[in-house]
Amino acid sequence: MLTQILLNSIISAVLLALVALGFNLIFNATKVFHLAHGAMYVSALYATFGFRTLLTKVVPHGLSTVISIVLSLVLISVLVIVVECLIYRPLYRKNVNPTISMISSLGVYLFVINLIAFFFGTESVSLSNSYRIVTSNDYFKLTNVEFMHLLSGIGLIVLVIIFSKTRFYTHLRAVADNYSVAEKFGINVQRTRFMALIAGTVLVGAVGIMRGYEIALDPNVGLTITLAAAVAVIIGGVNSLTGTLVACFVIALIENFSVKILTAQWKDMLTYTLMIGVLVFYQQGLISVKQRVDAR
Amino acid sequence: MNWLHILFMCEIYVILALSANLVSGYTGLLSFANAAFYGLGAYMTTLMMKNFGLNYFLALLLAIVFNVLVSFIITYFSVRLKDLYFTLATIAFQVIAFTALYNWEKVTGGSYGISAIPAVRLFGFQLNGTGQYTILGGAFALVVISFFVFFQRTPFVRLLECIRDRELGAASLGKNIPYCKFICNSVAAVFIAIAGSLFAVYNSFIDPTSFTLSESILIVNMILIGGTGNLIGPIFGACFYVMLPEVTRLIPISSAKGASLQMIIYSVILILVVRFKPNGLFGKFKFQ
Repeated sequence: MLTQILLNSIISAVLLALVALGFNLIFNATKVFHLAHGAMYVSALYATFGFRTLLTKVVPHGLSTVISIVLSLVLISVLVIVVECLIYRPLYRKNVNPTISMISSLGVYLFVINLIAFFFGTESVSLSNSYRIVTSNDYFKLTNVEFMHLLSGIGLIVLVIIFSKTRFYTHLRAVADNYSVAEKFGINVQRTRFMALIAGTVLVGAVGIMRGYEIALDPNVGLTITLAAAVAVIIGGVNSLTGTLVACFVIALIENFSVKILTAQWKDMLTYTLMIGVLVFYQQGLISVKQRVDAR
Repeated sequence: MNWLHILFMCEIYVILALSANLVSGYTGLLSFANAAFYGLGAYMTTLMMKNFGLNYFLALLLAIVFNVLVSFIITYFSVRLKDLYFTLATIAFQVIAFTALYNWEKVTGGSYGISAIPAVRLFGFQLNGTGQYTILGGAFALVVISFFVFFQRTPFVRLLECIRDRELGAASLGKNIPYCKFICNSVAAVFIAIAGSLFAVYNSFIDPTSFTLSESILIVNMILIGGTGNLIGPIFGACFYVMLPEVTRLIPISSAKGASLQMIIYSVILILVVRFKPNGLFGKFKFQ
């Protein structure tokens, strides 16, 4: 029983971590509290669903799934680039404070979610419902979907860790710290922003598609997902990817073990209380960039 | 199309938007916890009326006291946290309040909500029908609007605007900033409690889904679209939000699609306003 809870928390931590790492990259590079992250999650799921329905008549089943996943990831990358060009970049040029860019991001979120709801309706969509238990022993049992999540999730996290060792991530850190100085040292700030947005969006899109194989989702889950990721980023410390990873595991463990004591519905409350605690008591350590008072 | 119903919803949202404007527009604390106070006000009034058989006005008074006490938390956040972090803390507060309303089934009835809320009794005369509630709501809305008309002329509001524009400057002039934030949050909580209680007795049924984070987002959007820091902006924003469904209803699509279309229009306006006219359609203060 204990090992089963542990396994479940690892799986949910891996999925949360991917969303949160993407959020972290975007937040650091653009300083936008990217609420539209959740919209990308939902769009990836619905785009895959839509493309697959279109393609199943033309190409064989396995191939159509692969093509539709790739197409939907490309689609959401294009979407996030459009958002960056039309909304985030002009606001960043105007040097607005984070609250106002968060609100514009909220506008994007509402727009995309309701566009999806307009075309697909608000009932839930699932990509697959073939549950099969692949491993079952005294300690835990693992379904095929969970196994896929674990494998691809850990693979993607490893990719992110490799990515964080590249020169590009160093550029991202420089931009996050002070973009005008970074620009003067020859870093292409705009390209860094694009790369971070695309990397984060592909990560969240992948999680959206992976989740679609496990449960049926409706468009309105987006905000919950983004907020969960934001909580993880804030608890872990905005500056570091490692902090985000650790925080995801902490949150997942708390949520999964609290189910044993409380009913499942209260777990949101625990997570958000934890975030408030972090914000109020450890806030100094968690603000990403210490700003000068007169810079505000 | 029921015009009295629309008028009543306008009155409620005008009260909500004006209170949100006091916190976000004048003092510059962007709070996403308004729907939590709205819900707490509605539930407190309902529980007092149903469980203890209190008169509506007594129950409202208790709800107001309760809301003011709870608003201490928001005041604490606003003193401790800045900008985005304050906003995040209020989002967390909103989610926690919703979770409590939704899951504390013994008291709040959980997702089933509370039905058969008793009607308002005024001097032995029982209100019924939309028209009479509209008059009650109108009376409250008038009180709130006239309060703000009066309030706009006081020196205190200039102090709040000073805190919004440069908190450090206000502090260095020796102003008591936590006290100002406390007053502004409590006054907003009082008015939001009134709106919540009106909503509860008018519908005679409440459930937690009326008080979600999306509702808070809508309230904030209202004041952002209308413009913050004055009276006409929030009032326009609230009326615009309530009227919009009546306009989209003219387009021949199903009601679910209509709701989505409404939100699409709304979000496009929000994006355009933030992008091109950051002080809202009527606002005098840039939200930054």
